[in-house]
Amino acid sequence: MKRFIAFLIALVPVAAFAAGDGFLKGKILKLDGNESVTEIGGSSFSLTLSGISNSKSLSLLDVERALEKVVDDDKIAMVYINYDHFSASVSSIEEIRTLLGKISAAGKPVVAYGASLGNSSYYLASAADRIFLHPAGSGSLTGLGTTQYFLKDLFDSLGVEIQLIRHGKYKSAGEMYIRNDISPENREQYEVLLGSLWSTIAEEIAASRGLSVEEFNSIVDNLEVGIAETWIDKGLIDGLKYRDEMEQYLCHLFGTTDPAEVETVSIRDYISSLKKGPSGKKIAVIYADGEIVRSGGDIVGEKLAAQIAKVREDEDVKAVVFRVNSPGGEVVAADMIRREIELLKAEKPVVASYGAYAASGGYLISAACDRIFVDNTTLTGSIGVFGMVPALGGAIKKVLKVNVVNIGTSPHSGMGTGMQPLTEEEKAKYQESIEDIYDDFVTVVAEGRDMEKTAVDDIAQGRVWSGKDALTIGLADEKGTLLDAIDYAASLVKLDKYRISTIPEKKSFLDNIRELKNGESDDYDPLVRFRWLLEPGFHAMAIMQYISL
Amino acid sequence: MKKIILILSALVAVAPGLSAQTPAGDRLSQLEEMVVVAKEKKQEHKHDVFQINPLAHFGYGWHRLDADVYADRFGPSREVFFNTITLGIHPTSWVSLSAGLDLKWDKFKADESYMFAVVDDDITTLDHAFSSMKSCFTTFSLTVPVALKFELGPLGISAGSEFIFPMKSKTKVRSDYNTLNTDFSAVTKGGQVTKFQYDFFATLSFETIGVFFKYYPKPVLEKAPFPETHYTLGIYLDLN
Repeated sequence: MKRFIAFLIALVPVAAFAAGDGFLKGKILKLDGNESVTEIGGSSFSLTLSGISNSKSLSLLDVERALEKVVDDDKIAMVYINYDHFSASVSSIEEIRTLLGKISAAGKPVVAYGASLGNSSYYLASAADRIFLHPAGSGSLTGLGTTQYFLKDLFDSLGVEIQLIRHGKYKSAGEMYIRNDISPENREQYEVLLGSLWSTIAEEIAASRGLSVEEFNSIVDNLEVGIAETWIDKGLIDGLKYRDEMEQYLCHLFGTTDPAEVETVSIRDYISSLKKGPSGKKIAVIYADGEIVRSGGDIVGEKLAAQIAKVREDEDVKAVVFRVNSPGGEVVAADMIRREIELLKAEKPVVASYGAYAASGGYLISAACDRIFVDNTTLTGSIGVFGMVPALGGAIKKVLKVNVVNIGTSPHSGMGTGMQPLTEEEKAKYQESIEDIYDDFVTVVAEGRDMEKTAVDDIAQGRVWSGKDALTIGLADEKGTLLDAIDYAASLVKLDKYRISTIPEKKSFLDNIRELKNGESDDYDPLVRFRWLLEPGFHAMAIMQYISL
Repeated sequence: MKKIILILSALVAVAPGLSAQTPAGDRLSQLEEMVVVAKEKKQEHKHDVFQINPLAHFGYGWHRLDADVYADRFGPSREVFFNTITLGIHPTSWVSLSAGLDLKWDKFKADESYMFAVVDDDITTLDHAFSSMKSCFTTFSLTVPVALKFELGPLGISAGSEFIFPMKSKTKVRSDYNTLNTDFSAVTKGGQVTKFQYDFFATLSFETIGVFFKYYPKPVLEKAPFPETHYTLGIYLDLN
């Protein structure tokens, strides 16, 4: 009996170790720094002075699906990230970090390596269980910031007059043209916004590295990291390795000294092996990625509205996830999309998932969705309207020595030509339109979010909020990744197995060639960018452009 | 006591689960502490798919021709062959298909109740009563052996067929009878020799030495009495 007990006692650690499997078995999933991750992914063309450049990117959805599969895939033993040159938005990195955390919690190591670290690459790398840096590498952590440019003096010297008509003291887009410095409201907005975004980033990094947020912020505020050794001293990385040493380290994890015995699979190849799921039952992911315009741009209102209508008619689509990554755009175009989402929601569940930004018009089109998922670092809100009217007549006279004369049948026939400023009467009329549009916007949000209009007005005023703060003030419902939104949509229609279809689909290299050859009806018109100067719009572009990480 | 056993048994059962729940960071710490023993690199024997080998094999075999009525009519009859050139296809390192060009000499020795004789410049066989006379018949042939070979380490197994083209034949008669002094040899026209012969063979080798078995389904002499079939056992050197 005693021998039997002794045998059992001895068996416990043996069983534990044996099941721990000793060295790793399987393949390494490689996330190469040269990959960029965008919302839709695919191939994109650009014509440059040196020729045609074709760049490929992975879609965030594919990356998330791949990482989620790794958790339970016995063939993948670990994940290796080369963080150099990795390109993705802050919110995409936030979502990728969430999934890397699940992989790590499942006992599969995540190891990161590179030669230079910055705010963005370190935010990604910090999700790893081990971070290594090249001994000659370096980097800096500088926190979040924004640089703004104010052009009033320049415009005054040129004789250009810009009239900004808006509703929302925080609607800062356009201030750069009429002010020489930042307004107090805008400064307050940015300080709160940047503070919120940074707090998310700092908390996550600190938690990953076993530091307190104060310790981490002190490192950043005092510029305590630079050359490679400083990163180790501050506990932000785990070691310095040359590339061959890194290779040997990975071999060691697999119990070998021969790199030929360690198999790797790139995330691109792994994505291509993902199963599509059964046909017949689909969850559609509709992307609104970019600025909303009536023609010639990223999101053409009428075109996306037509695509949404098709999804509504598709009986195989049981639920929809509306993935929004838009700073807003033109009123009419945004409303076309909003209306189609409203019709779609009447027939099928529509869940919104926000990317880097879903602000202004981007928020309008999705406010009525059944549930809104955000990332803490999403920029959202900016519920406000503005319009800008340039008066270039003075500049043309001053600079080009050309006199502009307008003759018309009514006192207001020169309105909208862009040559003369609005009169007080015209300005008042314009303001009325702006107020009406703002009221409509607030109404849409109030109805969509089941809030009082006054409550919406309090948090609107054109103010941009982080996703984290949006959860607190009622503009969003849940923090979650795109996959979380899809899972939620599936749960609403009780689907266990389904196929995900994306609209629009990724553009392939051949699609780009065809467009180049045949042209598109929405071919980019450089002058369309100036339309927003004349028409009211929902724009939060200024914020999005200038926050850098 | 029973409780202790139950608890320990439960621990053994859940231990694998406990191990699998270790966070990845802890797991990495364990892995980093473990010692890796470098394995000896397996010598990879690179092989060419197409190989040409001269003088690939030599062999010596004993014919067995004493079936049925031919019992006791033949003395030790042998064959010797050597390869001039072999062309092999090696899709993998352990299987090959080869064809060669061999030179083969066969010697058939007639015993006391049998005799090779030359009649009308051609070989024939006679039943004879002269116990002092012994004769033999030799042929020289070109052969084309085609074989499928499997190699498992040092062991080799092959099987195939050999196509035999007799080129020249010769008889020799020797008599011990003093008065006759009939020690002569003659080259025959070879008309009686079966023009196209073949055999089926199988070999078993270890490293370079092997044994072979050949089965000849056709008689060596077409019209003269000769065993319809015979077989040969022998040894060979495989220098491939």
